[in-house]
Amino acid sequence: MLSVQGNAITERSAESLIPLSNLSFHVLLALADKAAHGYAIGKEIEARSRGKLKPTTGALYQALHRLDASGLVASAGAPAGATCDPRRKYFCLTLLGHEVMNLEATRLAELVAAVRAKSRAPERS
Amino acid sequence: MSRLLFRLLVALYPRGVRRDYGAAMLETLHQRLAERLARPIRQRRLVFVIRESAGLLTGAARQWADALWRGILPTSAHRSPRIVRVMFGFPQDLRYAFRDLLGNASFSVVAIVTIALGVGANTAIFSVVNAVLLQPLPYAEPDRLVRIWPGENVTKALHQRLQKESTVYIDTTVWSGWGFTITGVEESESVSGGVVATNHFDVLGEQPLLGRSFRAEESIPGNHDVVVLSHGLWQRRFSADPDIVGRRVDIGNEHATSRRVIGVMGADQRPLGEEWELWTPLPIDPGREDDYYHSWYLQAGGRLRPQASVAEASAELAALLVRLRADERLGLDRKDDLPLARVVGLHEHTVGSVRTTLLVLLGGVALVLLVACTNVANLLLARSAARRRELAVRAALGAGRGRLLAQLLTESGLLGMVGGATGVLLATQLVGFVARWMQGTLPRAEAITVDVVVLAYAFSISILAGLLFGAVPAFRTMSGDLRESLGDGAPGGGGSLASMRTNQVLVVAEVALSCVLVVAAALLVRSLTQLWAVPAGFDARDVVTMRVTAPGSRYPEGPQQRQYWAQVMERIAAAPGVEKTGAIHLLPLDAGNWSFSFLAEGQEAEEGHPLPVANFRVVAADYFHTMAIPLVDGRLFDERDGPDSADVVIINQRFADQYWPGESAIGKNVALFGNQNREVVGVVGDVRQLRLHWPALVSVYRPTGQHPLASMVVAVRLQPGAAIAPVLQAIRLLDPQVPISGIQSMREVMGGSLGREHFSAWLLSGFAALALALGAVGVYGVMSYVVSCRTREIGIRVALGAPAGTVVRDVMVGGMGPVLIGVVVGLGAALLASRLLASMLFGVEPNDPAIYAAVGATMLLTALLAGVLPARRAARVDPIVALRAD
Repeated sequence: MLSVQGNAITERSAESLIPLSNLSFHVLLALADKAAHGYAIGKEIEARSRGKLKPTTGALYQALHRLDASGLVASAGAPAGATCDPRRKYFCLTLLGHEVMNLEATRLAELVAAVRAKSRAPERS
Repeated sequence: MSRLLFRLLVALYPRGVRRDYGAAMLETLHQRLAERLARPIRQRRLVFVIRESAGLLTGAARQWADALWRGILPTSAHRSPRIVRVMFGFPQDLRYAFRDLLGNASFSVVAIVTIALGVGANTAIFSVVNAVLLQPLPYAEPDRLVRIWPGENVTKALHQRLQKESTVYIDTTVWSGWGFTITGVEESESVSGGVVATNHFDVLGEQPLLGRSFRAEESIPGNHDVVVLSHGLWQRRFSADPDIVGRRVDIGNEHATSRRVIGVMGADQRPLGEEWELWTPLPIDPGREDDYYHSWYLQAGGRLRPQASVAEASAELAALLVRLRADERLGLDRKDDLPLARVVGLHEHTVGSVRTTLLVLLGGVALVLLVACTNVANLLLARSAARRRELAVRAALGAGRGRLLAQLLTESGLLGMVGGATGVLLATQLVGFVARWMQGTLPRAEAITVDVVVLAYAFSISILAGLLFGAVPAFRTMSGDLRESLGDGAPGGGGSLASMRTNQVLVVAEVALSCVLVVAAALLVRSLTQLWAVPAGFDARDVVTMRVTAPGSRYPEGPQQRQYWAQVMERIAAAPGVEKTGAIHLLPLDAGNWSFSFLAEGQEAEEGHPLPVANFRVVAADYFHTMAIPLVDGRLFDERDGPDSADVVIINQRFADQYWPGESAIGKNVALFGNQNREVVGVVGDVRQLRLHWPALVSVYRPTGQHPLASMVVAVRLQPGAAIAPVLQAIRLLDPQVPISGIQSMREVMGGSLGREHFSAWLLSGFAALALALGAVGVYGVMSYVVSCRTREIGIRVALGAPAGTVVRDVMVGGMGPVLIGVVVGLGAALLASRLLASMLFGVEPNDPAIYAAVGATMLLTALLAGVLPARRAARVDPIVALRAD
C-alpha cells in the first residue's frame, strides 16, 4: 500500500519500483552524492548523457514529483556553502532511493552482461 | 515576455503540485532562460521557449491525469450527471489529445503554424488597436479632458476670454509646439518642445517627477525663463543629474537664450506632445498687441466639470463665440470658420483620424484568421474519415456521444492553444517592429505593447479558433451511425461523399474570404501608387534636406540671421558634390504650415467677409532651382532683394490664375495681412505643400534677405552618387554651435507624408498574401482529398481506356467548381466591404472593375496551380492498385 508522508520512507519493497524510466534513473544518479536543485539536476543530466538527454523543466519536475511521491527522493534544505534562496527547492536521495538506484544499476549491469555473452557466442562456435 | 508565458503555464498545474513545486519550477526556468540569453546566438531562444512551453503543458496534463487517478478528484464520476462526466473526462481527453498531437507530427505542425500565423497577426494588430484606440489616455480622469476647437487655433486674448467666461470647465489651457536649440559643451542640437500655459500640467493632472511645475507668475515676461525637461532629455543630455533642478541650462529660442530647470517629468509622462522634449511657460503680455490679439497659433483644451458633457461644452462655445464677436479686437468678425467650432473629447481628437485605418486592418486580419481556421478545419476533416473507425470502436465499448464530441473538441482546442501560444510569441516579435514603423505616423505609437489585455484577447481568439475549426469536422465525424464505420466495406483511407461536400463548402468559404482581402489590398496598393504618381510640383530625386537652426544666443536679430544664411548657403554651394542648394523654412509635405491673410491688387476687402489666406514660405538662395520648381513668369529672388530694397514676393501659378486671370502678375501688389504691400517679381509652378492628395494652395514666397528667420530647412541637390558629409562639414566649419537635425532625402520626406497609407497598404497586402497562400493550400488539400476519394472510380475509368488528359480535366473541373463559386461570392462580398475603405482611397473607386477582374483571375490561377499536382496524380493512378485497394 502506497502511503507517503513527507520524507518518511514506506515499507514498500524496492524491487517493486524497478525498472525505472531513463530520466528517473538519471535524476537519482544526479542526486547520488549530494543534494541539488532542479536547474543543477538538469545540467548534470545533460552533461552526463553528453547532451542526448535534455529534459524540459516540465518533464524534470514531473519525474521529481513522481520520485518524491514514491519516496525515492525528498525535499532537503540547502547544502552547506550554497546560498539560501527560498525560491529554490533542493532534493536529496532517500535510503529507499539509494536502494532502488543500486537495484536498477544491477539490473542494467545484468542486461549488459547478457548482451555481451550473446555477442561473444558466435566466435566460440 | 517568456517569463509571463511560463508563469501562465505553471498556473495550469493542479493546486497541490503548484504549491509544492511552482516556485522551484519557475526558478529553474529563469535560470535556464538566463543561460540561453547569455549565449551569443539569440535565435535559439525561441526554440527553447517553445520546447519548455510544450514540456510544461505536457507536464500539467500528466499531473492532472495523475491527480485524477490517485483519487483526488471523485473517481465515481461515471455516476455523476453527464456534464460532470464530460468535465472530469477533460484531463484524460487532454492527455489523449497530446498523444494524438505528437503522434501526427506533420499534421500538427501544419495546423499549428497555420493557427500561429493567424493568431500572431491578430494579436499584433490588436495590440496596436488596444494601445491606440482602447487604452485611456495616460492622464488623471482622461474622460473629462477635451480639445476646444473654435474653428481653428486661438490667440492668447481669445483664450483668456474663453477661460473667464466659460462655466463648463474646471480650467482650460493652451499650448503650441516650438523649436529650441540646446547649446553648451556637447554638440548643439535642436529639439522640439511645448510652449504651454502655466496651469497646463494642473489641467492634465500631471506633476513632474523632480521639482515642480510652472507658477502663474512665470507667464509674465521677465519671469518666463524656466523649463521642465522630459525624462528622456534629462537622461540623454544631462546624464540624469539628480541635482539638475535649479541649474541654468543653455536651452534657447526667441523668448530667452538660457533657462533655469524647475522640473523633470517621469518616464511615462507626456503632457500633450508625444515628441516634445521640454516645456516652457507661454509668455503673456497684453501690451504686445500683435502677439496677444493677432497670432492664431495656440491650441486650446480643458478639463470639464464632473457634471458637464462634451455636447454642453460645444453648445456653450458656439454661444460664447457669437457673443465675443462683438469685441472687434478679438478679430472674430473676420473668421468664417466659426460654424465649425466645437469641443471634442481629447481621446477622440487624438486618435479619431486613425480609427478607420485601424479597424480596417483589424477586420482584415480577422479574415486571415477565419481563412486559417477554415484551412485547419479542412485538414481535420480529411483526417476525420480515418478517425470514424476509432471512434466507432470507442462508442461500441460504451463511450457516449457527448463524451466523444468533447474528446474531438478538446483536440482542436489544444491545437488552437498551442498554435495560439506560438502565435503570441510571433506577435511579441512583430509588435516591436510595428511600433518602430508607426512611430511618428500613428498617435500613441510609443504605448504599443503586448499587455494583459492583449494576452487575454490572444487567449480568447485561440480558444475560439480551436472550437471554430474543430466544430465542423467534429459534428461531421459524429454524424450518422458510427457503427456503420465498423463494417467491412466502410471507407478507411478514403472519405465519404458527405464529408467531401463539407470540404467543398469550406473551400468556397476560404476562397471567398481570401478574395475580400485581396481586393481590399489591391485597392489600397493602387491608391498608394496613384498617390506617388501625383505630380508634387518638384523633383525629389537626389535632393537631401536638413534643418539648420542659428541659435538665438549668437544670432538674436534679423541682420545677424540674414548674414548667417548668406554665408552658409555660399559655403554649401561650394562644397564638393553639390549641384545646387537653397533653403525654405517649412518643407513641402513635411509637418507644419504657415498661412497668412492677404489682399490681392484689384480686390476690395468686403465688410463681414474674411480676407483670403495664402500659404506663406520664406526661401533662401537657389531653392526653386534645387527643387526643380519651374519659373513661369518674371524672375527669382537674388542679391537685389535685401533689407533696403523694395519688398518683393514670388507667387505660385494658382495665385496668378485665380486673382489676375489673363494678365501678367508681374509688378502687381499683394497686401499681406491686408496692409503690407509687396510687389510680385515672379510666378513659379504649383507645389503640393500639405498633402500629396490635396491640391496646391495659393502660395506666397518671401526672400530671407527681407524676412530673416533663425531656423530653415536646407535642401541640397547632389550630383548622383555624391556624399552628404562635405555639406555637413561646411555648415559645422562656419559655426560648430549651429545644430543640424532631421537629415533625410526628399523622397523620405514624401514617404513620411504617406506613412499611414504605406502602412495600411503593405500590412493589408501581407494579410492578403497570407490568405492567398492559405487558400491555395486549402484547394490543394481538397483536390488531393477528392482524388483519394475517387481513386477507385478513376482506376476503373483508366482500366476502361480513358486517356490521361480526360481524367486530369475531369478532376480539375470537379475541383474548380467550389473555387469558382468562392470567387463569385468573394467578389460580391468585397463589393460590399470595399465601401468601408472609401475614405482611405485616392484616385481609385471602391468598385474599380479592373481590380475585381484582376483579383478574380489571380484567385482562379492560384487555384488552378494548386490543383494541378493532385490532378496529375489522379492521371497516374494504376488501375490494378486502385481496384485492389479494398
